[in-house]
Amino acid sequence: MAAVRPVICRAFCTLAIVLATLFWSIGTAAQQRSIDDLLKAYEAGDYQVLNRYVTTTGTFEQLRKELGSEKEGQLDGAMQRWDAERRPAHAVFMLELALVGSSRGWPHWLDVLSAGTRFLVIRPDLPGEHPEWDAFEVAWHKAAVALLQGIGRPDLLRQHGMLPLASRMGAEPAVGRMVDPWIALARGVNQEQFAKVPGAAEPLYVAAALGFYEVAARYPSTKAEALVRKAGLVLDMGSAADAIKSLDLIDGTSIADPDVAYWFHMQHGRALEALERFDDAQRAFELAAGLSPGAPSPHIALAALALKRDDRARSVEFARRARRHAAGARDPWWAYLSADYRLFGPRLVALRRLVK
Amino acid sequence: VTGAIRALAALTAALAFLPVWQQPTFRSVTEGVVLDVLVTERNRPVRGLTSADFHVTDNGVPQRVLDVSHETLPLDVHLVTDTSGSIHPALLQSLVRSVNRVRQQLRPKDRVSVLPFSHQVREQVWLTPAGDVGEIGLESTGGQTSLNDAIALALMTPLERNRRQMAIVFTDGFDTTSFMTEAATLDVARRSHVALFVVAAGDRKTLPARFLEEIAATTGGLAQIAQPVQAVEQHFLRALEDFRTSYVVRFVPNGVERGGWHDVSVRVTKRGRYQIRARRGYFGTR
Repeated sequence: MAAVRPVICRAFCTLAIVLATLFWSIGTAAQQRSIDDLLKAYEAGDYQVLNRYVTTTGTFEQLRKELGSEKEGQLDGAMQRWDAERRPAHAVFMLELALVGSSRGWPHWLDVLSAGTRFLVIRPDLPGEHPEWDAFEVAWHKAAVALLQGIGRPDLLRQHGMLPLASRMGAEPAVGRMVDPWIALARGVNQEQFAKVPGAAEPLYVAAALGFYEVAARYPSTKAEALVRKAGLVLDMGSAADAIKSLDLIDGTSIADPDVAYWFHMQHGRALEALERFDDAQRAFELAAGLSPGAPSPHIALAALALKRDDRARSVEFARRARRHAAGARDPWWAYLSADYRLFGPRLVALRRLVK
Repeated sequence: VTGAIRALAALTAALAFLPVWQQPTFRSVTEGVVLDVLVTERNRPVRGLTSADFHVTDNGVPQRVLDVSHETLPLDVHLVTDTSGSIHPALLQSLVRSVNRVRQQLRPKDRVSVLPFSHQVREQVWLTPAGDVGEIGLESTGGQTSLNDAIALALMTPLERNRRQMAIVFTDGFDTTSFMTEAATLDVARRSHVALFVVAAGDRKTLPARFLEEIAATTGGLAQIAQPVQAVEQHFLRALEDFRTSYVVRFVPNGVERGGWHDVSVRVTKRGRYQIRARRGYFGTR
């Protein structure tokens, strides 16, 4: 009897392992979804499907493999199937997949983003042939670049965002190119980000950025931001008078984008302070504070200005206000260098509307 | 007699409107300029010095030291800690230990502030008697780094008679989101009465080391690079110890223009191989 007991135990153990393996495989088969299945759900309006499904690097990598790649204009994997019946949903879905990878810090999200860019760029028709596709593609690139501007890596922004668009988009009309002055602004931001990298050859990048901002300043849609950014750069290089000249070309009260209007007043305040026009600088910082009451930066600026004017009591009071803003305050200044990253959300929502 | 009274009244009124010598950077109007001076020999604080042992010049002009005190005034300690996305859990734990060790070392009349920062600088505790502050907790807030803003806000604090103020700032990287530039922050430091000590984790390539050394030295403080991160606590305590054991040297400027930047130099006349650390100068008002 004693000899039989281990045999029974072994049999039970084996059965348990077999059953567990069986249930696990059934469960896995039920959970694993193909990229086309997820795309279908996405197109039906379930915009959170990837967020829910892609919770591990394993699932992300599985989808990345299914997505396929592009080599010298030849697609494979899902991208090859999608190419035959191109819809905006395909590219937006790729952007969403890249976003999920980015938000979880998985490095290959950039490959997915690049695949999306390439998928759009190698479409069979040339820019200008189908204006609605051009408009969609520009909107997609603007969202992708916005995402890249927010990661604080100008080298990756250049590699995955700006270089693929080098001959694809321009500020001025040209054969075979899509036109949007935004591209000049985006190129300037890329150079400005390079200039801010510690140890960078700042003057070279600043010169390049200024060139792009001067182009962007010729167009109404990008003029205000281009001139504000130009002013900020020349001020950093020590030329407050040139900064004022740049800002004087803008009517600060008519800037449509509230963040750009805020940046205008903050840069104006900085330039006026550098010229020791302290009363005017104070007014500029107060205008910025009025536009964004929850932002600490104008109070920091006013505190430093008051200290410079030997008004210690006011300095202390403004510093106190700056420190006591509620946790989670929103300050457009913090978004200055990441430029369009603040617009990524609205741009993605606009793209989702095109999927329907 | 009436004429004499009128003349005296007129003179008094005129005097009332004369520009007074406002105390330039440091404590009160009547106190003159007050300097925190650390004197060490072979890395150990030197004790027992008197006003006769100090030689102070203001813009190159020798000044008479009125008095010197040592470890008598209570301290205000601002603990300014980076809690941005780059601070990993082990480093955060080390920081929590460090700020609490400093809190434990404070005396009943000392006060403490806690200012964590990422892109936003927040006031968690403000100038509260050390005994009333319980265990200090810090949370990783994620986000970017407004190092310059954090330094500036720690330096723009109320001037209090008969108290000494220091800030210990911790960071692990470069500034990414501040409104304040390095130059503007340095200007605040030159006008502030607070001694700035910086503890930075990482290596020089990943830190604005030159700026941090410059701004700390301007205020009479010190920038230390903690490598490995376990050394953070030791550097916090050293900052407190250095400031605590500094002499408070007072003089009323004489024979110099009142306004503008004043270069100050301090030397110990007593024989010995002393290392001296003091702020580099102050801004005077006309």
